[in-house]
Amino acid sequence: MFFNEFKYFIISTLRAKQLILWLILFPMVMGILFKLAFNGLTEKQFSFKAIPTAVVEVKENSIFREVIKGVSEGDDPLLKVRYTDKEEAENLLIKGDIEGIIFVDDTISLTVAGSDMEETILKAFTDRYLTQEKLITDTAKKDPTKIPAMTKAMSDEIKVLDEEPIEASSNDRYITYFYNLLAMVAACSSVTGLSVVTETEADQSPLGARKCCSPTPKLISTLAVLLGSWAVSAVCMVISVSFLAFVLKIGFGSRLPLVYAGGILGSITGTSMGYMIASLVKGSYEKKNAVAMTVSLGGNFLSGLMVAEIKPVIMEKLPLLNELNPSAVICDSFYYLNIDSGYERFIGKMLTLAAMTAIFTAIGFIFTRRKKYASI
Amino acid sequence: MQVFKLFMLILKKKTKLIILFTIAFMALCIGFLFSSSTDEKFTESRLKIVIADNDNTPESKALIEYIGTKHDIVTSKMDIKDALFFGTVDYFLTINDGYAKNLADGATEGLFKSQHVYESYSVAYMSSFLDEYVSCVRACTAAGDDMETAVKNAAAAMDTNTEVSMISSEAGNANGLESGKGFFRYLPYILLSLMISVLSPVMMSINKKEVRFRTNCSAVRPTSFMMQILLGSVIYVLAIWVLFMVAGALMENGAYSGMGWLNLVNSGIFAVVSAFIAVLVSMLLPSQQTVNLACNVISLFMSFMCGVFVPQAMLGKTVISIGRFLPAFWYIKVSDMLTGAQVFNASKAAQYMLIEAGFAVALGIIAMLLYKTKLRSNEM
Repeated sequence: MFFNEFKYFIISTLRAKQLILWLILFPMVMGILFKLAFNGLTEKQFSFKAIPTAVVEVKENSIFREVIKGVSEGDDPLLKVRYTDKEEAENLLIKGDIEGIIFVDDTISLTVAGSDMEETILKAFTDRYLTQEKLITDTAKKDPTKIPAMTKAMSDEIKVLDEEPIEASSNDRYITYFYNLLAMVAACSSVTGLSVVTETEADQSPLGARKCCSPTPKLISTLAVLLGSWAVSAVCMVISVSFLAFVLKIGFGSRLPLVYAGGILGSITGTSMGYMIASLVKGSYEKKNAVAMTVSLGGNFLSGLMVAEIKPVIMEKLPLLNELNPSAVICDSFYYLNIDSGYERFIGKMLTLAAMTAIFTAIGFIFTRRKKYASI
Repeated sequence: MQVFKLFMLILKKKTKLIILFTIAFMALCIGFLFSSSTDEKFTESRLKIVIADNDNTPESKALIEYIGTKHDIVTSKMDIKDALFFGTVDYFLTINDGYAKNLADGATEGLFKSQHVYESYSVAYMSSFLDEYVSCVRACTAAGDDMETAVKNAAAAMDTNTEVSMISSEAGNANGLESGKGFFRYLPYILLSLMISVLSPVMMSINKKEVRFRTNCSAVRPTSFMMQILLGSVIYVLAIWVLFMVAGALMENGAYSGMGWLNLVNSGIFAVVSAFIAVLVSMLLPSQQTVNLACNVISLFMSFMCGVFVPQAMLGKTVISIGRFLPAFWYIKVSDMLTGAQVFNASKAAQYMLIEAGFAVALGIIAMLLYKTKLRSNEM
């Protein structure tokens, strides 16, 4: 009897086109949009490239010219310099072709168009030149014999810093949007979880009424529908992960099987959440559906699906909310697979999801058992 | 005016949805407004730096104090890896044990250790900053200062400031990479969402086969039927546009001052474009159940492709090529000029708004043809 109910639940669920649209097609469309919009954006936004700068020489300064030459040549140049007149330089700056204009007169001055990091680096460069000039001038006044030693100290190539970049499977800041997309698929699986109640409760649907008066024990019937909805949502998740990994080539790294595992467990949690919501919210299917969608999308908002910046704010200011939000937990599990070399934090998130699933399912069972109907 | 009354009756049922969308959009906009800034005066970018002092000497403390004058020294409640990945911390610096001793001995290698996720401008800046600091301290010691004085003199010398001025264009500062922030940049998303999610279901209800057949055999003339629907739609579009223009005035100081009045024209044209898109959606979709999906797909697609969410300057060539065929692309072009993200050019702004208006006309003609075709096919 169990397998009969299980089989027919899956068949009837797959025939509901809306489920296919929301759990398979919508994530695919969103994935394509994210891919188009965020492709290469991290590199464009963060990667350091030589800063395009114009130099306008009002007065000749051979030392500064040498310094400029030094920083605009080599493998890792700081500036990409072009010498030009004031008018052309200003035109270039307004058009956005350069980040700043260095004016070489009696002193060095700078004209910029904004206050971003590029402009700050330009200012740091000119400040450095002026600092060295000041140190030499001050020393020349005090003790000119020290100038050679001082110049040597300032011009020596030094390496004061050991850089230790954090190794991650993907250094793409925007990859979190794809994690959130999978978390959305999992959270929206709650809609399939609603069926566990609406298809087994006599006051919810004619099918529920039919099942309640059938000789099949309620536990068997409920378990069959619950496992069926877990299976359907897990399949939707597998399709979504496969689409992102193999069609859109999202960098999930070498731990793809674990991404599948995390996604499947997440979708099971989402489905159980739907079961719990349906058992707690009294009323029509539409009402239960509205609550499930609000909770799911609210969770997705807090985990950064709509505005990515909200995620770190909640991680820092309200860590407990981040631990209790199923969407955030799913999203974090993928993120830890990306950033950590070990598995500790990933396993922690998996255990949290398993615990959530157990609690949601238990609440669902408690609130749906032993129901009697005076009338339906 | 039976059809008009029916239109308004169905529209009334969508009031909750309109309120929900409006509140959600306002909440988002408040968040965006806090992050926006007006660059009238140059201000140096300050990095958020976490420092671990393993040396704990007067020299290392002097360095931390000096870094604190230029940047924000913060502590992170999150794991440092997570903080660097999500950008709540820009840089993690460790002052290695033996820093003061090595500095005094003239050994400069490995004084510091840094951790970062991205090879970003912040990393390049801090690397140069630390090099400069150590160079200055070494120069001061070479000039005969003892270490305590050298540290002080180096910090004082590094406070030398270049004179920086900002260039201005007609409509404010132009910065090649950043897009305009604020209320009007995100407006296309909400206008599209509100038009499709509200206007499409209303149109679908009125144009339902049974309802239209009933109307067709009534005393209402087809022209009157059309005009009443048009009137209802115009009132709805106008109401939404006025609502958001008032909200814009309240949320952005001086939103309509100077060339800002063009925001009214630009958003007005886009509201009409959105309404025609909603009409087309209502004609092409088979059932009301798919409206939400269509609404999400269309509004998000246009927003991502046209630079509503991601600045146009950061979009790839393919995305830009696709975006050119969408009306929101030209809306953002004008909006960027008005916020100063692009140089303002009156003739170009007019040209872009005409393209937007062209989209409205084209969509209107398509909607009209489609309506007539549908009508004839049903009459058959």
